[in-house]
Amino acid sequence: MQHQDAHQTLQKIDGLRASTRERLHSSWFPNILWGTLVLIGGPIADITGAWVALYWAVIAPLGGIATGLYYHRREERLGLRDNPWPWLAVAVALVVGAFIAGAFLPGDPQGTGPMLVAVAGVTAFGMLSHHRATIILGIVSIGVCITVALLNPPIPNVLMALVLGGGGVLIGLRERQRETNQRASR
Amino acid sequence: MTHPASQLDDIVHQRLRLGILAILVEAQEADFRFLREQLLVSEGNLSSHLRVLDEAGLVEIRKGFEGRRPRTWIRATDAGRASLDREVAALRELVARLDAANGGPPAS
Repeated sequence: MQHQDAHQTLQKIDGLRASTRERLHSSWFPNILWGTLVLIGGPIADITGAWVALYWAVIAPLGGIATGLYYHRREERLGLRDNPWPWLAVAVALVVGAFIAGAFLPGDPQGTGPMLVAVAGVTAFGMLSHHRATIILGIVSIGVCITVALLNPPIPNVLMALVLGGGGVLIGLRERQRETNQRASR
Repeated sequence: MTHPASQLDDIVHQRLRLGILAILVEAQEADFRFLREQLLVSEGNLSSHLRVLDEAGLVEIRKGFEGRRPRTWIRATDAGRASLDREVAALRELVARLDAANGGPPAS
């Protein structure tokens, strides 16, 4: 095998794997949806306190169904299916973990416990999809949650939601733009 | 110690079959049309290479219907995933040796 051939073959394999991952894990919809829900949830948590649990109890299952439907329809249209179990496992762990953290951490007036669980979940989703921007958002958000817990600002949930939710929406919009450009160039 | 070129698998090493496996290892399964569009090959060509991989136990082919339209889904088996991993490892080793012998990667 020629030197150049071996290089080109490896590049072709890496390129095909990367483009398949990219098409499989398109995340503009869940990023915009969940980013918006987090942005709305922040002020609700700061204004109503524990009532935010009701907001998430109603919104989280609906958001989960919408996200599942989005991926199911996309996979059928594209002809490319992913193994759903790792994603479901992270989603269930995130929801259960956030509610447990909210219910059993009475010494957590800023509500950073559930938010820390949520950002850990976002980081896990980023790792599952090999999506660097989502992983970075998750790690930055973990830092913000810890800072909020230490400094105790007057509107802790709004601040955390601005970073996590705003970051999610921005990533989603960028992804959407990139997909639109790719479709136009095909 | 064996030369990395001797570790290349004749079934997997063919360029199109490498491409098929490279796509399939990233997903649970892909349909025939997706593979054809991604690899820019004819139906007949893709079918014949899929048959080779199927007979070697490296992929599984499942034919079904979507409404009235037939749809074929293909997935990599564990053996297929392992074969691609071995092939890529052998290629990387080969490239590293060639890079060392030639004083660096080839100009693209």
